[in-house]
Amino acid sequence: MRLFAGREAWLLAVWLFLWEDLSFANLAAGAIVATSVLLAFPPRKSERLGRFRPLAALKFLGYFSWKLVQASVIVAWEIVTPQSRINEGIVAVPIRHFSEALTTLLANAISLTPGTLTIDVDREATILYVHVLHLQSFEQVRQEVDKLELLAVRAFGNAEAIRRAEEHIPGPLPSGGDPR
Amino acid sequence: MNLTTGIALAGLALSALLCLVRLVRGPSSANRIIALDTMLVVIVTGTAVAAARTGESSFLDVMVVAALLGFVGTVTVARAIEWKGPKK
Amino acid sequence: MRDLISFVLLLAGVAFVLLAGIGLQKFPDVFARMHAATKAATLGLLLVLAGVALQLRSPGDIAKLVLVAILMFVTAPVGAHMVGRAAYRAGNELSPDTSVDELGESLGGKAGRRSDPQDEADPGSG
Repeated sequence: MRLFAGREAWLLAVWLFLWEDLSFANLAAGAIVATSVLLAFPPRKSERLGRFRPLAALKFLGYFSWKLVQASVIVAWEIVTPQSRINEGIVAVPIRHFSEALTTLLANAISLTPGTLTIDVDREATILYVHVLHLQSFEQVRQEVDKLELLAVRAFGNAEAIRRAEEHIPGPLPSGGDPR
Repeated sequence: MNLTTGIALAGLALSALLCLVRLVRGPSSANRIIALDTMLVVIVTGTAVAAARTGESSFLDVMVVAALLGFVGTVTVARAIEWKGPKK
Repeated sequence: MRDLISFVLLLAGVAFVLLAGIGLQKFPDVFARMHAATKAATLGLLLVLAGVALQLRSPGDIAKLVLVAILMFVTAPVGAHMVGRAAYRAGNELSPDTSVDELGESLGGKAGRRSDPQDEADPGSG
């Protein structure tokens, strides 16, 4: 039973794209290379995303692409105008789903949204430290991340994660204090 | 079309020059690697534009390799900065 | 018509990449510069690749462009994060504009904690 058929198919597709040669020999060579790579570097358990819901994933992608455009326009505006509205800060944002792969996805998504950039992650992957360019208030940053997290979890998380995200159960803050 | 790609390449050259300035000035290694990362984007973009301008599709292979190696380089330098400690 | 769309996409993309370069000069510290580099440069790249894709004929070429687009989309934020983390731990100074640094206090007090900007504006609530 093939354990990683999905990733193999993807690697094979990339191989075929790059070589632009659809003959059987190339197909076989690609399959061998893909299998060898996956055997040499097997994906770990924590790297599995969980579920995949196409419709929610599409919503996530759409929101996220729109945010990227917004982010670039805001940054461009900041660069072009002479006065500086920069008010930097690093904010601790607790997250709630406790899954490494999802955290990675969320951290990357945050880096591409307006004014935020993930700098560090707490050891148990429960807190994201986000560097903010135009800092207005902590609450605003946390709300933006919450929204992103909700969309991501609905697309890729398991049922437990969705429950936690939707009920807005807050995660712990670094000092252990009350986050709300 | 040639005019468009010409303008695009000129703009990219200017951007590369700005990255070069930061590369030389940037007080720490982190600044420099950001400049290099942006320069990588300029290179990838420039290669794509050049491929459109000349119609040579072999430029695109160069582009893929450049993107991959650039990323590996950025991550490697980032790790080196983290291990080595304070900036020079 | 296709040329016109390509024209717009190419120039918009190059404009964003150029702005990223200017941002590298203008922003006060390394973390702000990363914002400029990641977001503006990535969008610029995607726009240019879209513009170029309209000009090319064979599906193999367009597939390579799509591949590079996905690749840069995924690797740019990861690269920025790693450099940011390394820079912070290596002691890169945040610019004097920085108003709060929660990462510093949880790592053992590198920078002082100043208050939430909203609290400062309205000390009665919050």
